[in-house]
Amino acid sequence: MSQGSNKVESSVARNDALDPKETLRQTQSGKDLLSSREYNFSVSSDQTLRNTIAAMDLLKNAGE
Amino acid sequence: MNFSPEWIQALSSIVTVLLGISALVFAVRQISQITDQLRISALTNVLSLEAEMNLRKEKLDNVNHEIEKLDMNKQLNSRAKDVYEKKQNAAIENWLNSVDRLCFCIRRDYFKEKDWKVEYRDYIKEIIQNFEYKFGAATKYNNIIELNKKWSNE
Repeated sequence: MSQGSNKVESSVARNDALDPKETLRQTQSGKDLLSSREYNFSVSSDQTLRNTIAAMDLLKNAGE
Repeated sequence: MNFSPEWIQALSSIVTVLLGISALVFAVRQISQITDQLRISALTNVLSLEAEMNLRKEKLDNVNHEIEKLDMNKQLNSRAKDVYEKKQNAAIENWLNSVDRLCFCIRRDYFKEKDWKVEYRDYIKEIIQNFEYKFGAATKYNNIIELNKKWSNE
């Protein structure tokens, strides 16, 4: 996913001088990203939240 | 070879129709390519916003790990406590700001809501549950609150 994102970002950055083949290739790469996004993507923040609460508890208890 | 005016008129009509069809096909292809480019551009924006969110989340993780390390080394004294409370709070605020920005983009239809609901509904709900004190009456994160309200009622 991150490799694909770099491709898209670089396509935007270099959008001023693209030949048609390159445009088509990047369009396909973007389409692949879109379809992968629809089927294989999930986000989670569970661990960060747990770590934050645990660290808050440590801080709270530190002064006692 | 002599062409009657009727023949010439018929030929020119055929050529005109063919040119019209070619122009139509060309226009449809152009529109399709522009649509693809717009979708890719929207996706690029989303990916960079997500990357920013993850970066800020990672910074919060790092602060949490620093606190754990200090505790393990018995260095979490009252001075360190003051410093790290502020540091953690700032990291939480930075993360929530980026989540709020994502929620704003979803609420204002910069991103398609249906694409993000499945992925972010629980993410946002858990953030609100865990940082309840950040989402009181005077909260700065109205977009998170409003989007969560909307998605909870659907």
